[in-house]
Order: sequence, then C-alpha cells, then structure tokens
Amino acid sequence: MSTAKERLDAIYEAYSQAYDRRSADMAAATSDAQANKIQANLNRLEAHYLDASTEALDANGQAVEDAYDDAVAAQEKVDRAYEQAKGLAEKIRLVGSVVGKIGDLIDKANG
Amino acid sequence: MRIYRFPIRAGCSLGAAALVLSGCASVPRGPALSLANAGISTTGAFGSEIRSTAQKVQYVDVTEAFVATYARCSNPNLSCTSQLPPGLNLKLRQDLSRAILLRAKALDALGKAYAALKREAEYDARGDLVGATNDAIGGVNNFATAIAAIGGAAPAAALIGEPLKQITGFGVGLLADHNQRKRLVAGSHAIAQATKRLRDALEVEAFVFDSLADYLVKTRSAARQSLLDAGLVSSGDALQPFTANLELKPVGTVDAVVGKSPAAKQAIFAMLEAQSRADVIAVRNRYHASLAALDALLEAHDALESGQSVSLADVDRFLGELDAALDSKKE
Repeated sequence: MSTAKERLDAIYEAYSQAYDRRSADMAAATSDAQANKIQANLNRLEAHYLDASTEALDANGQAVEDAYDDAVAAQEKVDRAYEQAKGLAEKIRLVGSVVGKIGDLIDKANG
Repeated sequence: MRIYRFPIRAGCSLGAAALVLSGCASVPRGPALSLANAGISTTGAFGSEIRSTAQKVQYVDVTEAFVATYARCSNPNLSCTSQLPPGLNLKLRQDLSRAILLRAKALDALGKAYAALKREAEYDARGDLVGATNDAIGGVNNFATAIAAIGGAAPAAALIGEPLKQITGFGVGLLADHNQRKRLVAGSHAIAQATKRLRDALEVEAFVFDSLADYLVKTRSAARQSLLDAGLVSSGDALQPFTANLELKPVGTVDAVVGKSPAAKQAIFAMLEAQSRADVIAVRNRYHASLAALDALLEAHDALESGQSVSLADVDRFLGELDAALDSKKE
C-alpha cells in the first residue's frame, strides 16, 4: 500500500519534471497554442502539488492504489517520451494525461 | 556555542559539566531557568526557519512570473506576453503559506510559555505562568483547527485533532519554596505536553517540508539562471561563492568572457544546479535538527520533573547545527 509520503512524492515529481522541462519545451514550441498548453499543464501540476501539500492524502483502499499506480505509470510514459525524444505534441499530450491522473489521485487519497 | 547561565542557589548542586545541571532537592530554579532558556532558543530558531519558508512560498509568484515570461519570450516564434501565475495558484500558495505560518505561531506561543517559566524560575520574579502556558496550548490547538479549515486535513491534523486541555492553576495559595517547586514542575509538565504535541505533528509532516524545500530551491534556482541568461545580472556575482571558496577572484571582464563562451555559461548553470541541491539538503537538515532539538528539550523536561540532573548538551548541539547551517547559508 502506498503511503501519504509516496503519494505526495509522486505528485511533486510530476510537477518537478514538467518544471525542469519547460524551458526546452518552450524553445521547441512552434505556435502560441503549444506554448499555452505547456504552461497550462505546468500551472495545473503546480496547483495539484500546492493543494496536496495541505492535505492528509491518507485514505486507503483499492481505488486509491489504482489511482496511485495510474499516476506513476502515466509519469513513466512521459519520462520515456522525453528519453526517446518524441515530438513536442506527443509530450504535451502525455503531460496533460498526467495532470488528470494526479488530480484523480488527490481526490481518491482524500477519501 | 551557547552557554546557558543560571544563578546558583543554596541547596542546589552544580555538576562538573557546564551544561549538566543537578535537579535541586528543594526548588529547581537553576535547571528550570536553563530549561526555559533552551526552550526559548529552540522555539525561536525553529519558528524563524518556518517563517522564512512561508515567506519564500509567497515569493514564488514573483520568480515564476519572471521565469515563465522569459522562457516564452525567448522563442521568437511565439507572441511575447507576460506570463502571470493563475489566480488559483496564487490562492493555493497563500493558503499554503498561511498554513505554514500557523506552525510558526504555535512555536511562538510555546516560546512565550518558556519565557513565563523563565520568569517564574527567576528569584522573586513571578510571571503569569498559567496564562502563558494556556496561550501555548491554545496556539497548538489553533494550529490544528486552522489547518483543518484551510486544507481539509493536513498530515498532522489527525495527530493533534484532540484539543489539549487548558490548565487552571499551579498550586496557588501555599507559601514559600514548596509552592514554587510545585509551580515549576507543573508548569514544565504542561508546557512539555504542548511541546510534545507540536513536535509530533511537525515530525509527521516533515516529508511535506522535504518536497517544499526542493520546490523553493528549484524556483529560485530557475530565476537565477534566467537572470544570468538574460544578462541582467553579473556572472561574477554568481561565481563569487565558488571562486572565493577556491581562493580566487573572477576577472573583471567575466561577463564578456561568459557571453562569448557557451561552455563557460553551461558550467555556471551546472554550478548553480549543484549549489541548489546542496541548499535543498541544508533546508531539510535544518528542519530535522530543529525536531531533534525539541526531542532533547523534552528529555530535559522529563529529567526536571523527576528530580534528576538536567542536561541541555543535546539541545545545544542541535541548535549549534542549526546555527552552522544558517551561517554557511550567509557565507
């Protein structure tokens, strides 16, 4: 079973990675729409992290574990996309998926 | 190094070590005074550390506006517009900062209780020990309820959700030393309860502060890099701690040199990144040293209440670590 610390770490990791990659992603953006999505994803991940920092994240149950596993798996897909130098549109799409999974994890972990 | 000085009274024996105090057979004024001083120092240092974190959380809005706008406007294919953090993020940061400040306020209230214990321990200087101790208990209770109101439930809320009971008095009505001993021991016991409750809460959520340290250092580091990259600050300033450590001095034309050398610029960024990692570890260490100082303080409370020798060496050692970390930060 995942702990509150592991859940917060996963939430922070998603934000932290997106933050570290923003500068290069912005440099690679070819349109305002792409740039807006990059920044919007990062803002939402930061909001999730700030929200989670004042929450207990201590609910138990299979739904919480599934949400945690989904969030971790989604982040791994993002990391692989960057390792494999996939296109920016694909990276943005995958980060957007992490945003949703992290939001779900917070909801479930708060019971 | 801190030395806790206290008046030596007839009937109290002083141990050989400077910081090991004998529990007095009669009124333990000396040990209580030293314990109170250590409590004031510990809560003050921990409170300052937490208050500094809260201020830095709020300032992220400013650094983030600069970094996000610079990242976007550096790409000529994009429209260059100011990138201000969304209102939701601003509010969440304020909520988090306020929640962090509640911990500092609870520590402040504890510090006032230790100050009252100190006044009580000083000869003929009786303070409002009951009122100050109740303020400390109230501070810890307020911390729990306010956290729950802001965030639903912080990690510590469940731990300190059951309010500590206020005290009504410490044996008022009797005369002379016997009564003062009773007040000091009872006061120490009540303050220790509040200290223990807050210490446990702060330990449970230490992992929150671990990621927060990284968050703060990361955003500040990104701002430094953006400022340097934009040529708005001197590379010499960024290099100063590094070159000073090597007992060297940057050349006067450092900015021109870095401007022409992508290798030099990248090396400076790498140096700043490494410095950031060290800063994160230092922030985490200060938090854990503060917790350890509270632990040592609680042991001293136990010793005082059971009439044993009170050692403040551990409190002093952990506060020393905190000072050393702060000193190295200033350098």
